[in-house]
Amino acid sequence: MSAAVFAALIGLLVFLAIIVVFLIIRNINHKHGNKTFNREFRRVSEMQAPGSDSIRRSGKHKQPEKYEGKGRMVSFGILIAGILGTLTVKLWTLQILASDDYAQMAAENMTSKAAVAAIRGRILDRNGEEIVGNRPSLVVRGKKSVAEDSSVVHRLSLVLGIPKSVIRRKLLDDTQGVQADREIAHDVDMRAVAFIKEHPNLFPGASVETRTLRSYPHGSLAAHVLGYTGPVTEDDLKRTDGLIKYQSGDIIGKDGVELAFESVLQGTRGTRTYKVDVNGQPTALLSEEDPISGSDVCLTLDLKIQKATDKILKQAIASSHDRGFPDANAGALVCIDIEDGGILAASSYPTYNPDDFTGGISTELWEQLTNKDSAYPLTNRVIAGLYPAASTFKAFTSLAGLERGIVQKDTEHTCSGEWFPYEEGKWGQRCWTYPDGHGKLGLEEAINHSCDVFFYNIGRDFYDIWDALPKDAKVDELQDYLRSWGFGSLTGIDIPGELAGRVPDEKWKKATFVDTPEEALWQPGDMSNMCIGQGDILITPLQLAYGFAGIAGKQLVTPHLFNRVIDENGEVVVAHELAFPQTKPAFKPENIARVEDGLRRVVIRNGSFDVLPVEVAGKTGTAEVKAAKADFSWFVGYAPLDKPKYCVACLVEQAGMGSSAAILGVLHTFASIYDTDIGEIQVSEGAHER
Amino acid sequence: MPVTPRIETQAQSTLSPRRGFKRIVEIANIPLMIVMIVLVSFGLLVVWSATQGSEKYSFSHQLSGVFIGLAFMLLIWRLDYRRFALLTVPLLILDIVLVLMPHMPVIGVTINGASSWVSLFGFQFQPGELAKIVTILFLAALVSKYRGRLDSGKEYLKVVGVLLVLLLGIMSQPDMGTGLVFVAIGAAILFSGGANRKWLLITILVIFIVLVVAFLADPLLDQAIGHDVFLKEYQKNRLLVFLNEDLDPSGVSYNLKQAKIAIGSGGLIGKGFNNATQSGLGFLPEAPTDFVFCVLAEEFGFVGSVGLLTLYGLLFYVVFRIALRTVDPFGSLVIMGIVGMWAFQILQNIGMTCGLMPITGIPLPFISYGSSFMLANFIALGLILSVWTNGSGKVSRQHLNIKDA
Repeated sequence: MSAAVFAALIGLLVFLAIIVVFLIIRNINHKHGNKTFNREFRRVSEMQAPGSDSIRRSGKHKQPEKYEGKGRMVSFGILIAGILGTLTVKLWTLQILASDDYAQMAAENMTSKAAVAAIRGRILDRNGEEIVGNRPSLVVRGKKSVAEDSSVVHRLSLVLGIPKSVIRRKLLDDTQGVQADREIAHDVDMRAVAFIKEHPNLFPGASVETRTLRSYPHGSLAAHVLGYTGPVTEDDLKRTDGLIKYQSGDIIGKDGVELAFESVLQGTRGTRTYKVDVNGQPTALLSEEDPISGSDVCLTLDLKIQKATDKILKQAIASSHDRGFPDANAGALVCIDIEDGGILAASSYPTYNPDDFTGGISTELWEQLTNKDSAYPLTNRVIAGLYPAASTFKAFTSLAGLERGIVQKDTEHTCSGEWFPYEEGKWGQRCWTYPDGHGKLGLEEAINHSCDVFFYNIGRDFYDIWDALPKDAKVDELQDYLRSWGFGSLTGIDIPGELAGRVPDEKWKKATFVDTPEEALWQPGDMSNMCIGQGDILITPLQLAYGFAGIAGKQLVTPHLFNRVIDENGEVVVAHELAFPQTKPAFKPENIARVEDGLRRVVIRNGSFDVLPVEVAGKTGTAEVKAAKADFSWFVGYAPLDKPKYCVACLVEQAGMGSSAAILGVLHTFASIYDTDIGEIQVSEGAHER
Repeated sequence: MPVTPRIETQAQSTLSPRRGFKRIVEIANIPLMIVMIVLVSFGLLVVWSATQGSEKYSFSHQLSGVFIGLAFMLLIWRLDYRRFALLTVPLLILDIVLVLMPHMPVIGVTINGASSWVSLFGFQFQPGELAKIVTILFLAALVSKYRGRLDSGKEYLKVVGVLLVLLLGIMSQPDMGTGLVFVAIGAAILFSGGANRKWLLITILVIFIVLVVAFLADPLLDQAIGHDVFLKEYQKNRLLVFLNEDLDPSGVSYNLKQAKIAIGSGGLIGKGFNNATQSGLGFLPEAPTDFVFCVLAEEFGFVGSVGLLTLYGLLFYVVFRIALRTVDPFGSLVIMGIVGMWAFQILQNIGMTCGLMPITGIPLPFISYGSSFMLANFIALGLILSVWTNGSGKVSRQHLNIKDA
């Protein structure tokens, strides 16, 4: 403030000085009047022209010697004073009034901040074993403009051994994020690096640096759970919700755990502030701030089980080819800890290698990973694969029937292979055994033999109850029972991308078939189909495992992957004792016990689980999918029966009966959990190739 | 109270050292000397700072320019400037030769697209700078004949016509900046020389109309002929940037922006000598020459820049005093021409850097880098001093009258 006042005074003084100068000049002029004087002077000077001694003597009378132009000179002087005054005022506004703004602009001109990337936290399994780590890598980067310099591209192509078109594409690839320099190649060998470094004039715009890249020591293991990383994009930068302020060039989590725990894994970047010249060349280091590494995240995954499930799922799918299901190409396998909801293993097939995303994925590969022919490897089928629940659902419809009193202790139905809800010959539905029937059976045996007819009856009864309600007071009782086991809503697993599935009801049907009212009618068949897990019901493998874990553990615990956070010193910062929501479904224990009995009988009758040291209960499922060439195979089981701990659900697409591929998947998973050597799933040579 | 120097004492004074010293005090115009020394020192200080780390510009070159300039100043001072009053025709011929010199083969040198340079005996210089002085002398000689009253349209047209010829010569280099200085010199001399107000107003009107028509017709002509006719693309861009700073055709406003940042960031007292970041780190284009004022303003702040304007103000004050007490119209007009030249250059140079004027490369008197320019300024000072010693008092009038007779 005082500076401004000081400056104001100086400005004022200068102005006054200028005014004074001109008053003096004017004064000289005024003293003698101008025009009349000038004319006089002209006369005088003309008169006295030749050698005038009189004027010489009168030294004080110099004024008459001036000529007419002097008035003009004074005006000219005033004009110049005006010019100087104007410049002063302009300088005043620039240097005093707007000085702070310009000082800031000058500071912005001369300083440049360079980010120092923080090391991203690792992802570990529940025992602290590394699943995703970091490794140093030599990276060659190039400015976008390099793409237009064909000679540089040519040389890079020769040195790096990459086709010119690929280099050009990488340079122009905007999916690599908004950073100025695009990565051309990573893990470049020392020889190429040395050559580029020694000949900077041959590679203008290209640079070599050491970067810390994500490393995947287990390859594509648990890829869908882990997700992948990539350079921050324009959209990420615009995002303002998170706590972290990203800047171009940052590597961020894009999917799975990498995305879900981004705020923990991402460190805080350091900053180096340089004084730079007009070309951006640093001339001095002004200040430095060290980066802070991200924290390690321990997952609930058990590396041993996860390794097994990845392999088992792949083999189970391949083995289906041997059994005459050549279209089996995808599947999901998930193992939950019944007690705390932790995911011990989750595999989805087909899979991908997260390393392909390191340093930006190529467009080709991205297209390959997102097209139908490769069966969408990026989809995590455990949480985002929607399938009809098929017969596995009978466990939950049984519970609904029991709880509603439709199924009593002595309720029995006779299965003739075919079933008509109300009148013989009308609206018939068949049991899977058609034309044979199961004969007369109760609930437990109906579960054991997966008798559709028994459950059609439950569905019909629920329909009648619903139908009897007044039109404005309909209650979807069956659906409500099913929903209380988590179907039709997200389980709340802590990685993104989960789908809720669907438990159909009248409202849904009306909304869906709004254009074809004749199909929008809620019918007994909708209920009976739902009771065998067909029709419009859709669930994810995780939901099934979650529901069965609920039956086995008598409570529903939100499935999760998070275990604990370890900081850079190895100390636990956040532990998994975070309360994961638990709900106890309001079902009578004796009803649950009856269903469990049925599930136990399924496994006993099947017999393959006898090799395990523990008793297992479970349920098969054979899902009919309209668009598919073969049925989808389901199996879900839990063990040990006396104190349920593990629940495993497996689905194999287009692999036929549940008793085939999916049972193998679950059986071998339990074998690996209980360290039982039952050998690997037998797969012929050719089948693996598919 | 100014003392009239007496030419007849010259012989005596050289005999006695005491009297000689006294005489120097008498004839040297101490205020002018002081202003000159401070101004030139200030300029050298700024140029020293601006040329740090530059390969293109060297401080010693500038320093030698100052000394050569001083030598020439003393030489011119010793001459009686009135001799030039009778040399109108030789002056005109010299002027035209100087203006066209850069176009001559062998000696002509083209730098940055402008043929403004001449290379002789290993020295490079801009004859245009000397042509400014010759033009001043020539026009002053021409106009002083009318003795403060130039009423005849025919005579007025003659003067303007000659000026126009010189202007066309300069514009052919092309050197827009020097051309504008010529216009400023002509305007100053015609105005001070008592040209009829009517003719002056008509001239301004005609210039204005011609400029507007040229600017409007330029794109059409360019299209019709296929290349730039009046204005070059960059010149148009500079004008457009001046009219609207937010416009930035081909990054022209970058210079202006950096110049303003340099000046503005200087603040009240500046960043200190040799501490300018804008010029030191290369953000400021042409720091030692056309944008030298920015270096000064950045290093010495508002105090420094107003200090410079004050020095210029004092210079003009002293020079005006000399002009007003001169009995000889030629002497007055020479001074008015010089004042017009300097004033315009100051307005244009400083005005350009702070956005008051369009960007045109015109150096800042006594500050900007360039030895030809420095030389021209010192010759101008020499002429002023010659007017001071020779142009006041009866002797000069007598002398003139005798010549006239």
